[in-house]
Amino acid sequence: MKRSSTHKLVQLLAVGIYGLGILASCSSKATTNAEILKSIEEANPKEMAVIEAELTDAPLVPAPITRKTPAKVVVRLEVTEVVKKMADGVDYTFWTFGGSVPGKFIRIRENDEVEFHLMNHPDSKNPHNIDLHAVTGPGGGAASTFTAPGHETVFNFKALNPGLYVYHCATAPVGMHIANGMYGLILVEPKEGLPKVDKEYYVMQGDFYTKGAFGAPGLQPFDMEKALDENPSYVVFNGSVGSLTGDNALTAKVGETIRLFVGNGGPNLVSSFHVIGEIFDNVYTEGGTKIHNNVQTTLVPAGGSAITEFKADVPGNYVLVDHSIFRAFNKGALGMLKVEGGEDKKLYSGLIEDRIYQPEGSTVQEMPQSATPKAAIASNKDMRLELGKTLYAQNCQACHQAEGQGIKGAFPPLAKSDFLNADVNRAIGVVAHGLEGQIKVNGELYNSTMPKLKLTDEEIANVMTFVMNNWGNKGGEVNLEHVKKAKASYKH
Amino acid sequence: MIRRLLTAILMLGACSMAAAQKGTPTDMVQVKGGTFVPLYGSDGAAVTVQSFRMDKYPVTNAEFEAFVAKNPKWKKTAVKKLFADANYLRHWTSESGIGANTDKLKNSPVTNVSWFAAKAYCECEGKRLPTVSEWEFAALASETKADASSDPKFYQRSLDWYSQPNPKYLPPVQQSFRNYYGLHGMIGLVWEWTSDFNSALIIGESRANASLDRQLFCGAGSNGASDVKNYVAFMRYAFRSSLKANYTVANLGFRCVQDQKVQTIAKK
Amino acid sequence: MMKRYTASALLLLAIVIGACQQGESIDNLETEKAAIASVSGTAELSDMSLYNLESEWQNQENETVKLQHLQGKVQLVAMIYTSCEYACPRIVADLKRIESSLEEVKREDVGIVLVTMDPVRDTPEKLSAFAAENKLSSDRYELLTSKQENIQELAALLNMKYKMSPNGEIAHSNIISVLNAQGEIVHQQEGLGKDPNETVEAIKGLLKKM
Repeated sequence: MKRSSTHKLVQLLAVGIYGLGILASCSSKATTNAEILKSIEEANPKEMAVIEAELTDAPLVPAPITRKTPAKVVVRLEVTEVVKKMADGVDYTFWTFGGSVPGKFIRIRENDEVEFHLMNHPDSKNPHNIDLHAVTGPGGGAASTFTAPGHETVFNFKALNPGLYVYHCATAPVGMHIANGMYGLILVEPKEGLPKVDKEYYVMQGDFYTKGAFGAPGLQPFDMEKALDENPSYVVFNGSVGSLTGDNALTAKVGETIRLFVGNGGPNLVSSFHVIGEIFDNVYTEGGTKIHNNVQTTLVPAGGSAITEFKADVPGNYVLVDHSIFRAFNKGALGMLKVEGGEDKKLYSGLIEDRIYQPEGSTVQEMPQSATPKAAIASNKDMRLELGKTLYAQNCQACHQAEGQGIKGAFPPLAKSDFLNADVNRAIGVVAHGLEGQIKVNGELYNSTMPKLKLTDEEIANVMTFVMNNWGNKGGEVNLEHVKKAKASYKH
Repeated sequence: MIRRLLTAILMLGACSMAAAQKGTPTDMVQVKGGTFVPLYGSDGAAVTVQSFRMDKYPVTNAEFEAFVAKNPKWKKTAVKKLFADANYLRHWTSESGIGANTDKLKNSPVTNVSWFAAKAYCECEGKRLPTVSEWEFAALASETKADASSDPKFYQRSLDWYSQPNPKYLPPVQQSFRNYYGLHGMIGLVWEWTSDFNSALIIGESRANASLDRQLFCGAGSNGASDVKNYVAFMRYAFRSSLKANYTVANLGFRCVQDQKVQTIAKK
Repeated sequence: MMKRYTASALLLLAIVIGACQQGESIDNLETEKAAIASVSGTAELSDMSLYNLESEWQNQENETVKLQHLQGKVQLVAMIYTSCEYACPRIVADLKRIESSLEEVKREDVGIVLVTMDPVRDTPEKLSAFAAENKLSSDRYELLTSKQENIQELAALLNMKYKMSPNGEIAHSNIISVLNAQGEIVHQQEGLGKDPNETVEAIKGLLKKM
């Protein structure tokens, strides 16, 4: 259709020029010549269309490619060095492709010819380059894109192989550039395109090495020794703790099909990517062409990727984790997919029955949190609220959620909680000693174990003050005295 | 003969004042020579650096403004693109001077200057740009030690600075970290030009540097870094190797040096 | 259907272009004028011309020259040092290979310049001997030396990386640069033994414009 209408345009133009041609002067024809040439170019299917690539920040992905022919795609990626949040109360200087970690998602089609521009912001301290694993050629482009601050380099490549590829900076010291967040994903769609799905998201894991331990507040510098020892302080999805939880959670509706483009920037760790409560119907293993069906956990190598697809059959919250599980609960590798819609009890019933079963008696677990955050001492209630907020995010939020709403059937709410407001001292005891056995909160029964948290009395006071003064709870200040007393009177 | 002298004086013209100050360089300090192992280029062997004198501070905007006033071919509008790219003195708002932000910038290091501009400035002062070896040698010093390369605290501080983006306005040169020799801001202020910035035979694709292509470089031999844990040196060498002589960069300034020999003659 | 449209469009295009012949030849005349102006050497140097360097050089005939005297010709420029045993003979070989692909080109249109990186050892006499040894005729080849700092400046502009070793060897990158008649770098061939085709095309392209 398109082609024939362009031809019609050529014909019309040609007739018009024919009319003019005999009489008109050469000067006016100079432009007409150009116009004809242009329209002939457009009519010729061998000539490639030139397209400016749409780039997106995680977790968003550019729209699927509908073109049936290759194009010349212009990609402009800007490198910036920025201070951003690593976790609540913790900042880090990230080096980024496009302003955040992971870098912008690039989406092109097999056989596209890419004109790649790498711009290094004038305020950058360091030179940078880019190695795209989708490139066939020296250094994956790194050899041609070494860019001083305030400069721009350009190179062309043809996307020969379809797949989901990592890109990253490869300037010396390479490890440090990657450890600071210089990675992202480029998708080369196969000629025939990817099957249609309802939702697509971009999730990329990375490990970070800070001078302070997990949660240590303030602007944290890069720790080279930890990086060499491959002992990260943080392992996160999309550049920070909490980037995919609370209000930032991924969303879908029951019945929708979901595709996750999963990458791992490393620099060191291999990810055991898993979505709790889901089975991947399809996994394009390692981002390639082979599809594996019915996969629970897929390995995503450092500098590698995977595409996972599944259908959201049952409503609820699905937690994305690196199933090397300490990373999820103690270093931040945790995200969430919220699926909303009607329940199908045949697929998942929810809790039907609950009775006591105690063959050997149960004991309270201790949370193996070796890195106790340094406790700052609060001198007033406002400081308690401030410090408590961070402590909450680090210790409580994974289960009780960002707004204290909990997760129905699993983790009781703290927001407008009758259980909490009825007896603050009991609540302090729970935080200090853990809790097991059945409780009833706002009319719902809960029977899970809350681990004993390794918090100092000061920290308990802060986090409790924060909880009591948020989400419709009754307010007040919890101080050290309260904590000491409550701990003594509510011992297990 | 007299005519020749006259022409020589005329040619020096704008620069002569600085040359006259050579006898008493209160703005310079002595760096006593010695040996060190550079990250690249010596195959891990120690390199000897002769004693030399070095500017205490990087050249400031005010100093460079005075230079431009005397040498109008280095004005923003007059400079040839061959010698300085389009960002030359980008932070100056007026054609021939710092302009609007003079108060904030006059004592801060001048940046956005090319290698040619830096070189011309030093020559005008009767000085020259330091070599990479001289600069690296002088930068080994912490507050208390001439060679602090094995001091983890000093190392971490350097690494931290190299990881931070530029501040909006660079601080005055006097306020920056003062090292053992009395040099200010060797670490923590700006990157600095060196005369042979292009002497490290490394390429932008840094992972290929360990075994360089003999087709690209003659005589480079094995070119592995002498210390793969020296990230701060890696970053300095990477920065230098990303440059071309007419590049100007927002955090790249310079300071000048003088041979020790020149000094002794001047003193006599 | 489609074929017919394209054919008629092309036919019309041919007619229109034909009618404009006169205009095009005027254009050609302008470029010729420009070329003549630059050959005469009176034209103002462009901003990116290497001939903006005002340094003085000595050639193999021991004449003192400025780089600007290279203006008006397409020039091939490479840096060498005569005591080099590995790469420099090969750079000269690469230059000769390019030269041989230009046989039909008038000798006076393309010059070849070899600049030493080793001014201490490479005196004009030494350069002259090197030229004789390698059969580099003086109507095409010019070998230049100067003060170390002038060489350093030119090397920086040619994007050369090089370093003197204590043993007298110089480690250096291997680059052949093509300069247009105005002295601007229009093409660089990096690495030894490269297919000279691209460089030859760049030279021929420049000659067409002259």
